[in-house]
Amino acid sequence: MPHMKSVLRLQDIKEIDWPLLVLMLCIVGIGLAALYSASFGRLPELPLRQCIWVLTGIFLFMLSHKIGYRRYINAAYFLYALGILLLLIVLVTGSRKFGAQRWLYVGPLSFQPSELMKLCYLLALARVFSHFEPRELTALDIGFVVCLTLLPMALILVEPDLGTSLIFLPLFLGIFYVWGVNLRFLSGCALLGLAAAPVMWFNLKEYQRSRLLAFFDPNADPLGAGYTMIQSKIAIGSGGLFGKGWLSGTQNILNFLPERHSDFIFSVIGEEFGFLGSLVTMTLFFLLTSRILVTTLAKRDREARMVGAGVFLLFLVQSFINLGMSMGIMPVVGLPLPLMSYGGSHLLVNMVCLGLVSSFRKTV
Amino acid sequence: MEERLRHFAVLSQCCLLVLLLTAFYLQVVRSAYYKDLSSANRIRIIPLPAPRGTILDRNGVVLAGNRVAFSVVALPQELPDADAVFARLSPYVDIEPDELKRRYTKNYYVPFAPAVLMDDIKKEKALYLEEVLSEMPGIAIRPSFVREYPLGTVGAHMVGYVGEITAAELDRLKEYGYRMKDVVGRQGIEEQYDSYMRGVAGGKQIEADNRGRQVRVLGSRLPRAGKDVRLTVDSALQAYIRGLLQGYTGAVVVLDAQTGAVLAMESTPGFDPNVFVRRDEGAIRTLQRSSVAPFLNRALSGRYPPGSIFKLVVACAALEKGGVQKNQLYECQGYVYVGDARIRCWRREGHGFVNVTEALIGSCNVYFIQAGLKVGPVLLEKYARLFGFGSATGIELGHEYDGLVPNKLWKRQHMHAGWYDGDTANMAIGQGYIIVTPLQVARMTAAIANGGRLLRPYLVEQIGGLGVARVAATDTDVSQGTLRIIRDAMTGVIREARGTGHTASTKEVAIAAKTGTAQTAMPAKTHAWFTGFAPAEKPRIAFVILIEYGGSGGDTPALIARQLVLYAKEQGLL
Repeated sequence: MPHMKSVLRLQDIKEIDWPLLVLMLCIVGIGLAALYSASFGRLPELPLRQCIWVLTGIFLFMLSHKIGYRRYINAAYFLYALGILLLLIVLVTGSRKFGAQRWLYVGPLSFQPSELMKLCYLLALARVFSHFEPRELTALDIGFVVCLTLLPMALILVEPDLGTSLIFLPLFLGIFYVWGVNLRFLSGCALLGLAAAPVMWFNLKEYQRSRLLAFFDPNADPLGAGYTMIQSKIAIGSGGLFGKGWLSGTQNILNFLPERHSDFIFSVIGEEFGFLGSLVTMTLFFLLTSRILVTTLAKRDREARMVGAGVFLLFLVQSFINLGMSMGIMPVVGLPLPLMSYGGSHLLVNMVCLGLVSSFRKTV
Repeated sequence: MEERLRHFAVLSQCCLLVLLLTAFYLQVVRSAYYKDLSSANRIRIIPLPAPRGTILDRNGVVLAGNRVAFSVVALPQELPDADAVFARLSPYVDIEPDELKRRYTKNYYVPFAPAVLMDDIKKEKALYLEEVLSEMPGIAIRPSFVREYPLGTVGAHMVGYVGEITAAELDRLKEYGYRMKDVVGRQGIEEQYDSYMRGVAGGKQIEADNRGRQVRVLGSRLPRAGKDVRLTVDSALQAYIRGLLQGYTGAVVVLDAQTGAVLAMESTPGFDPNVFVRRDEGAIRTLQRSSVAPFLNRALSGRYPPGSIFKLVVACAALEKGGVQKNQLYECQGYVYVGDARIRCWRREGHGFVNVTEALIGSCNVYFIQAGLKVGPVLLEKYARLFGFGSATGIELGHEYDGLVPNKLWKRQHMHAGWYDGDTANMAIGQGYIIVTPLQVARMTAAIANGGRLLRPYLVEQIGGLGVARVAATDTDVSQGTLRIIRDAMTGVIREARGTGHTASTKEVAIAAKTGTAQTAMPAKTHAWFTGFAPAEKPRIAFVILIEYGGSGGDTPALIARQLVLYAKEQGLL
């Protein structure tokens, strides 16, 4: 089997970013334990399904590592177009779940194109910037980049999926920053964003607005929009120093925590493993992002660095917002915790991203 | 580019710091607070009521007890399809499904607590329903204890009644462990001994999920039953007296003359405490609006002038300290002048020359006015107080009236006038400002009967099987010789044909008594008194009968007294 042989080349395996892979697997492992508890006696099929996703994800990590980031960047525009197409298909034919149209069904599998879009956007942005120098940027170029950003954001916003949509902003600003644009331009963009905030506000769905309001005063509507955040804080706070023990979180097992297998998986960790669990989880995420940064810095290639910065931001922003909202310091915007929350789409995309970072270490 | 990437490292360090600090704050600093919230989320207490102690009479007859009542309840947790179940239940209980649904919604409290659909159904109906309930998931028959007063109106003022705690009462009693929906005593023994009889409610601590459904029982504490209260009362005598008082307004008290134990205490008109258990709103409203004050226990809250029965006190004072000799005679011509005022004796033709014994037998006003003027108001007041007037007896019931013994100071303060001989003359015949309660009169009579010991009347014999400590009697310091003269005279009141209480005489028992006919604010309408003891030679019981606007003490009350004493003898109380 010559084909197999080429997949499992010894050289590739040697060049894998092992610390990155190990950190990733540690986080995934904790996530699976928490998911088992979160779905215990209620949704027993979830952990098994997630295991299959994880195995698939590890395979995709290897594959991306083998293919290498260079080829991905070469295909960036195509991938971007594919992502937009999928988003359009979702809007036209996608199935509605919880009042939102986010999923695409392929046989028994469901998939969220918005997750894939993050990666596609990242690659496209890196590709675009590789054409220009920071100093010779024209208004037309900027307009092109802004359109590149706003198009997927708009498509995702109407699904509606506010959290995923907003993720594109820090990606955009971050990559711009790394690319070397001057700070005046960047702060101009930020101001423009602030100016757009009121417009955004009035275009939000009622539930999104109430969720944002609930962030500022969760007790205003404790059984409505503020409920999840209050219950999550109670769960995490009542975990104390060492937690209530695996499968013993009362907030979890007695069903006081909504969405605990997906967006609020950290509440289960906080309740059952206590501050110790929080400390380990947060440190692992910190180490993972640091490792991404280290690997990126070791690479002297501009496009690679931009992709690396994008992946770094993707992980940092998503994990920070998710952990923050579980603990009540961020509004509830419906972002999964990378590598931990139940769900295949974001897991696979995240692992592909890490695979790309891993491929920076390849010599050829 | 490299430098800017390094900025990202600082960014991620900042993020880690913020997250760790937040987690530390929630899970270490504020952990206790969130642990409390988490427990409050999941732990619920279901109270298990304690059976209330019963009230018994001296022979163990139940005056207030508990009856098992059956109610039909819906258990929300086990009610899969309320509408379908109610439709099925409807024909068995003759209630429309809509009405069942309405009651269910009204009484629904939490998912694990039963909601009452029908209260207190008949036992046969409960048994019948129990058989068909298998096809109605979520519907159950629940037994519970309901207060019951088997004797109804008999002794109702004394026993009292119970009701569900009101918001105002709860505010006052919260500190003592009372909770919403608790049953509290409202009058009589039920009120005064509530803390003994209510027992200690138990509870079941359960773990509930986010929808309030019971997941498991964490622990339970069994309720502790309330203590039984045993009274000194003889319920048969009490019931008999109730019958005798039928149609009259007034009160009767029968005491053990030697101990002060209350053998009977009735007040009419009365009420049936069961209406409060049944929550018979119509009957309760009628009672509350009644002009004859049916809830008033006239035996200890009624306010009456004593009339001639006060002459017993005046006689004691005159013989002891007043300088009147037992054979000293006063002439009664049918009237006497006090200052310029002419006061008549009730006997127009006069009693002629009478000593103290004859004056008591004939209840001569002229004699007692003259003796009273000789004794003077200070001594009259002193002896009135020695015999317990002017202060509550201290019986174990609430709302007792102190009575009023007037003196110079009191008159100055309240009437803004001086004390005249006319006031002394009025007091000497139990009129004027002096006010007493029937219970005080009974206590006085018992003291005369038992050789001068002023007893504290008591109702409660035992609480939870243990005897109650007694308050020692106080001595009136009236000499035995004087008391003997008074007792002999009281025997004469009944025995002698000229005695005012001769109507009460009977060959079976020697009764000693004094009648009274007290003038009221309404002319020609008098309160009728009759107080005495029996047997005359060796007193066992002391009694008082008061009939409001009952005419002369020698008529109706005397007849009642005669029957009362005969019945008491029949009951072996003499």
